[in-house]
Formats: sequence, C-alpha cells, structure tokens
Amino acid sequence: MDKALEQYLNTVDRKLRPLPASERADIVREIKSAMQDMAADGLPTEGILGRLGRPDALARAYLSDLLDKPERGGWRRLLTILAFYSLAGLSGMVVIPVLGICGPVFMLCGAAVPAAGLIDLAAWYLLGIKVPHTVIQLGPYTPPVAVGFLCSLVAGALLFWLGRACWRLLVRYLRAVGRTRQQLGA
Amino acid sequence: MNIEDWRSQLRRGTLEYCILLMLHRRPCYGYEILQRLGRCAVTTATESTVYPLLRRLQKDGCLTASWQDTAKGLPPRKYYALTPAGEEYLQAMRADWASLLDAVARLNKEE
Repeated sequence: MDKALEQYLNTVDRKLRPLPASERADIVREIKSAMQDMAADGLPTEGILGRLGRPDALARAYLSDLLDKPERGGWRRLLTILAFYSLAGLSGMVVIPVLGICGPVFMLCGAAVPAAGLIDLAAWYLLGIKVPHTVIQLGPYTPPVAVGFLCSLVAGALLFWLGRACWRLLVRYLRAVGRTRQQLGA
Repeated sequence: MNIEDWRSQLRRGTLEYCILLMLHRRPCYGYEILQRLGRCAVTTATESTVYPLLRRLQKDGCLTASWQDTAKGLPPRKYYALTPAGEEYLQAMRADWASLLDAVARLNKEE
C-alpha cells in the first residue's frame, strides 16, 4: 500500500484515540478497505486522498457522531474536571457525613419520641406512676400526660420528616454528582 | 438564497433514508453505497459523512455489520444489513416520505 495512504490511516487512528482500541481498528480497517476498492477502480493516490478529505476531519466526523458532544479544548476540559473534583470533594466532606448521620438519627428520634410518649401515657394511666426522665415541656409549661403524648406524636412526625428530608437530599446530592461526572466523562 | 445550501440540506436530510432503502434490498458495503449514491448528483455524499453515519446506525441497532472475504486480490469488506429495528425505522421513514411528497404535490397544484 502507498506510503501516503498508510500515513493517512495512521493519522486517523491517532485522532480517534478517545475511542476504544477495537473500535478504532475496525474503523481504520474499513477505510483501508475503501481505499483499496478505490485503487482497484483505477483511482490514483491523490484522487483517493481527495475523496476521503482531511484525516482529522474524517476522525472528527466519527467522534462527533459517536460521542455526540462537541470536542472541548484539552486545557479547558482539564480545568473543568479539576473544578468538578475540587468542588465535589470539598462539599462531599461536609455534605455526606452530615446528611448521612442526620438522616437516620432524625428518623430514629422520630420513632423514639412517640414511643416514649406512649410509655409515659401507659404508665400514668395504667400503673399510676410517673416514669422518670420522660418529660414533655413546652417552655416553662409542662402539659398533662395526655396532651404530652399528643405533643410527642407531633414532634415525632416532624423529626421523622426531617430525617427523611436529609436522607433524600443526600441521595439527590450523590445522584447529581454521579450525573455530572458522567457528563464530563471524567 | 443559495441553491447549493439548499441542496446540501436536502442531501443531509435524505441520506439516512437512501442508505436504508438500499440496504433493504440486500446487504451492501460502504464503498458500494457511496458509488450508488454518487450516480445521482442529488444523492452524492462524501466518505466522511457516510462511514460515520453507517457506524452510528449500527450503534443504534438499525444495522448489523460483518466482515466478508471477497474475490482474490481485494481485501475483506464490511457488509451492512438491516436489523428488524432498522426495518421498522425504514417503514416509519417511508410513511413520512410519502406524506411529504403528497403535501408538496398538493402545494404545487394549489398554486
């Protein structure tokens, strides 16, 4: 095969670097096969190269069709990826532990508070004793046990909702980071 | 107003349809597709559009490709064939094409 044609194929192969090696080999093989067909039809080397166009343009056509996104400058892309990892890393150090702890703990509290209220209620009405340490207090005012139980239900619901909100926020945060990472192809 | 611009848009818009129509009859290889498109000025396309397009159609599941040995002296060729999904896609295109021709003909008559 003509040296100029070999060189053309090498350039295309090099420009296709973002693709997996097997795919690159297949593309180059197909172009080579076309070159040989053209040569068999009596087209001279210059004619073949003229029909194929510039090698980088051909490679770009493959890449833009397959990757479906514009080629970014190497430097800009590097900066974008660096910014992403810095931001995701730094924010993750705070966001993940805080939400990861708050979520389950708040949900647990949401269940524990009504349970304590129920114990207090049952002990007061059935056994006639005041369970120590389970005190509902609204500021300086201590409501009667029944009202206290209702308050504990409300507080429990609020805490549980808060815990779930934390948990959902964490899931959304992680998904957003994952999605961005995928979009960057980093 | 540039007739060449219009022609290239027309070509781009119909290229996929033309290729699928060709492959509907029988499997073809890339160079053959280019040669047959080149017989008419309106359908003429370049290597750098057709080969990447074939690859994309293959990735999308419209085409399958297989390397086949040819007569002596020539290298193996990559033959493309329509998949059932490709056939379905082609049928949808056919329907659209027919309604386009119909609409254009009607506009032409109303003139």
